Amino acid sequence: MNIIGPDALVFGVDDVDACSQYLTDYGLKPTGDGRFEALDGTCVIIRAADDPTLPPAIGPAPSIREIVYGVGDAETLEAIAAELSKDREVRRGEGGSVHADDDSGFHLSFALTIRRPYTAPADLTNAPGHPPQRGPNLLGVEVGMSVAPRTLSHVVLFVPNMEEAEAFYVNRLAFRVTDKFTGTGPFLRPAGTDDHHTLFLIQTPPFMKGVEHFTFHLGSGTEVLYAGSQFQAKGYTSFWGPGRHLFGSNWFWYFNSPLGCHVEYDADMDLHDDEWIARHQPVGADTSQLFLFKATDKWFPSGPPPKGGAH
Amino acid sequence: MAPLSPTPGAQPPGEISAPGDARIRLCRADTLSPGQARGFDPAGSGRDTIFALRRGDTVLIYHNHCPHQGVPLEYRKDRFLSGDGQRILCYAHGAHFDADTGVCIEGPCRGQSLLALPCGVEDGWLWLNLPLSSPVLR
Repeated sequence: MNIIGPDALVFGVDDVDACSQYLTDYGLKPTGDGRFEALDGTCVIIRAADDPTLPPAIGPAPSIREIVYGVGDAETLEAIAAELSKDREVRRGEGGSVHADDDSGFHLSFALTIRRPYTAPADLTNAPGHPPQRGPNLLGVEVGMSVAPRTLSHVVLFVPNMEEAEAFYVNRLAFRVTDKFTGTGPFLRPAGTDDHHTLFLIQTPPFMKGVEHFTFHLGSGTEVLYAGSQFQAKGYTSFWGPGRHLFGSNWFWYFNSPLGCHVEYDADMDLHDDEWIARHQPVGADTSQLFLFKATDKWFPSGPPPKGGAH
Repeated sequence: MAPLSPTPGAQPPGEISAPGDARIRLCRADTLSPGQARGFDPAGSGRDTIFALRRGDTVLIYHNHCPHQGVPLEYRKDRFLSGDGQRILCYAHGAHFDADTGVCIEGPCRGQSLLALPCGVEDGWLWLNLPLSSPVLR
């Protein structure tokens, strides 16, 4: 099944204006009708919680209402519809889209991907011992350099039964477990992407069911630090980060949000293929990050002139 | 976290509160509007450690510390409430709190409570009845 990853996340919220401001400040581009896009067209869609066109809520607003997966070809849509029709209600929509609930009760839809080709620069590194990536007179950074979310990376779900939820995605939709936090949950990669994960599941009590966070890929660790520090300077509340994860190797910085979940900036995730053997580790501070920092205000090592004049 | 700008109406700590004082003057009580909350950092910890909100004629102050994971609640400076201003929300993991009692009614810490702090209004000023040395303000 050529499932690429989440193309859109649809939220029902109680404060549309606050969410719109938040996603714009985060760096997504408002394109109208509650849609906020990354460079490749993947997006977050904000709706009023009482919008009758939304699938039913699974918790109090604000909360996730639908996860839209992009697939690479029409055959995949037919394969998903045939597979899920075996034991649940499947609705077909516009363009052959497939709509059904997963085993935890999250509303999913599958459609031909909306991802469009784009190009964006890499963060070129000059590392001694390796040919330089940035030649003479090419600058690494500049104040005000453009940082934009490039593509919707992954979504993380709180689920009441992690093993059952994992089995649904693995056995029914052909996701692979890339790594797993023992007793907590798996990192999952669908067949249409090399990314370490587009889905991570976390075992929680049933009343916490919902999205823990989602994130868009930025271009580099530098971009995560720069975008995050600008976001924090706008008054947004850092939850965790900046740091670098071990599973996936991705840089991270999580913020509180009015969408009912955290929103992350991430970058530079590992790629895997089917040869990869999943690592299993208990979750904890030491297994979840290589390092963790806390942002502080800009500072400069200056002080008053020395007493008694210059020597 | 880096505050956007000094909170209007707040007094810099130290001008009106010495470390030994038993209470801290926060702001003019009439600058708190219904449906809005305001965070304060009286001890200069670098982030808002407490927040105040008006409920009718009453002003309440809570410790900015979710009973679920001990993290700050707001998603942005002063944004502690639901869209309609009627509930306190923790924008980390979506806990909903009754604004009058601080009791969690939805979410991960259901049944637990925010810590309500002693406060009062005197001559139109909102006072937090804790010393600057209180661990709550660190």
